[in-house]
Amino acid sequence: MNTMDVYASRSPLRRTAPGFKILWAVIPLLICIGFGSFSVSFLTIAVMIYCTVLRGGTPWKTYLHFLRIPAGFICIGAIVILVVRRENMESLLIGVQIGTGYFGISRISLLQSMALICKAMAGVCCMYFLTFTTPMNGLLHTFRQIHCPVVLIELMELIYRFIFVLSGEAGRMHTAQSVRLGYIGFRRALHSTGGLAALLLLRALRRGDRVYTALEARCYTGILPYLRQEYTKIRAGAVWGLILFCCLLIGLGILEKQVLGNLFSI
Amino acid sequence: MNLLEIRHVNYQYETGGQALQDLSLTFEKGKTTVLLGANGAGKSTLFLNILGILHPQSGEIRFDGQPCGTSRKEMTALRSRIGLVFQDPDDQIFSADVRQDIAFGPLNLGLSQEETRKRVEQAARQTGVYELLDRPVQALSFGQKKRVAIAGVLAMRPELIILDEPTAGLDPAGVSGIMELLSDIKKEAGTTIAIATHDIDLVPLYCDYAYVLSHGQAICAGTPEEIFAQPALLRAHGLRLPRIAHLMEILEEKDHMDVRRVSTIGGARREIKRLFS
Ligand SMILES: Nc1ncnc2c1ncn2[C@@H]1O[C@H](COP(=O)(O)OP(=O)(O)OP(=O)(O)O)[C@@H](O)[C@H]1O
Ligand SMILES: [Mg+2]
Repeated sequence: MNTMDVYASRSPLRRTAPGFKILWAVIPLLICIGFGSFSVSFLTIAVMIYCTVLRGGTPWKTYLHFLRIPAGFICIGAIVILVVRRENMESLLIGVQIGTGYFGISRISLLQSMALICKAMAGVCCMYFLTFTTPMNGLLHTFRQIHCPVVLIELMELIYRFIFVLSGEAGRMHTAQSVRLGYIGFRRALHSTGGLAALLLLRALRRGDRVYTALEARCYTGILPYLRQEYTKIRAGAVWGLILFCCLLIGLGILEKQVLGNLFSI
Repeated sequence: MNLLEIRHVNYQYETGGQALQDLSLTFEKGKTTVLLGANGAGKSTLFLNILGILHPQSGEIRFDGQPCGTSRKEMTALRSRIGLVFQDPDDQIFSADVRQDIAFGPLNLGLSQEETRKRVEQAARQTGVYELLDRPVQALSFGQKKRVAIAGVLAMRPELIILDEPTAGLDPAGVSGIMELLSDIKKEAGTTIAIATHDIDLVPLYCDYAYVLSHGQAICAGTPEEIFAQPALLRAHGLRLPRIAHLMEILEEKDHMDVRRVSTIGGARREIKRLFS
């Protein structure tokens, strides 16, 4: 979590208007979900990786590292679709007999699960493009522009900060416990974890109190004012790029439906 | 002239003992006043009372000749003239990035976006965090957060800056950097400075007046020389002499040398030269 933000704050794209980056991530995402086809997903993944790594300056190693985590979850989820139950062995590519039924992988389930994995990974890449190139304040800026309720935006800002304060606190407490051998053996580990959780809540409440005090000391009046950031203007080329990209995706999607539509039903 | 006067203030936490007991202090305009005292002496509590975040059970606090009111309006007016840098920077910094956090105070003062932007950049340059302006706060080290917290108060340009242990957690260059910066601000803008610190060696270098607190009471007051002329009293309240002054004490008492009790390197140099000439 921590490092993603740090990369965003160093990205060459951090000064690009965040609203445009949101469109650039969300429209392809919606198209991907809509079609759920291979070529659309592959093209999206390729373009998003290009934008994030080559244009956005995220190191390859970091990007792949962060991609591994959702990839693991998605693959596990896809297994549920991959394995199906059939009455006979003929319709399965491989399978085993359990009781009266046959469990295994059919051609359709294989295609479907692959499509799902591609679709989900494309979605992840879209979102990663946004997170790796847009600092939190950029997003808040856009939400303000589209007149999101101020309460929500301020909550977002404070919650964002407190996630890190709390996870930092929990991390330090965990370290403090483990250097004093608090996690040796199952019983002690349980005990330490319980203590940490209980104390974390208390500390969070006290921290909230102190932060409020500090806000008051700097003339807090009930609203969090904010400093407008300057963002670079979007070039016409980039807008045409987005339009072209979306048309290409939709075209590919329709084309693939025509060809692969038959494939699915075989 | 006294910018801030604390008169017979008593404060008691609901859950604890007496944190401040009949405490009377004055902070002279344009000077640096330091509060010394062991852990739990009541320094942070006093600062919260000054800002009107805690309210004394009895006694009076006067700022610029006026008693401090308790209404919301009076309090905001007071806080726009007094800046407090908290002991723990994590308490003070709440924004997603550094620039936004430093801008919080000036924007609350009702300054324009342009003026705020200028002040933020100036304060960030002064405290050496200019390169960090666009960084998310959680990616900063403790000392860097401390500097950001100081910048957040400097940008408000208050008449009185209160710093609760400003040098704790800073590297040696950072410590002298911050102290020099405070001296400069004091000279240029006539800002009054109040510091609580455990860093005794800084006191003779940068402070004009000192109070020793213990269990919520002022034990003694005076210029740094006057304070450090009473080593027994300091030690009884969990403090010590500056290293140089300690050396001079040993030279005088153990080696029976004829030295004056100076407490800065410059003073010691003069004494040594005098002895050898
Ligand atoms: N929130 C609180 N509730 C109850 N008692 C408190 C609270 N905060 C501080 N105290 C008590 O008040 C006394 C003064 O505390 P204070 O924080 O002002 O000390 P300090 O001089 O700032 O110490 P340090 O050098 O450790 O920062 C201490 O005895 C402390 O235990
Ligand atoms: Mg304190």
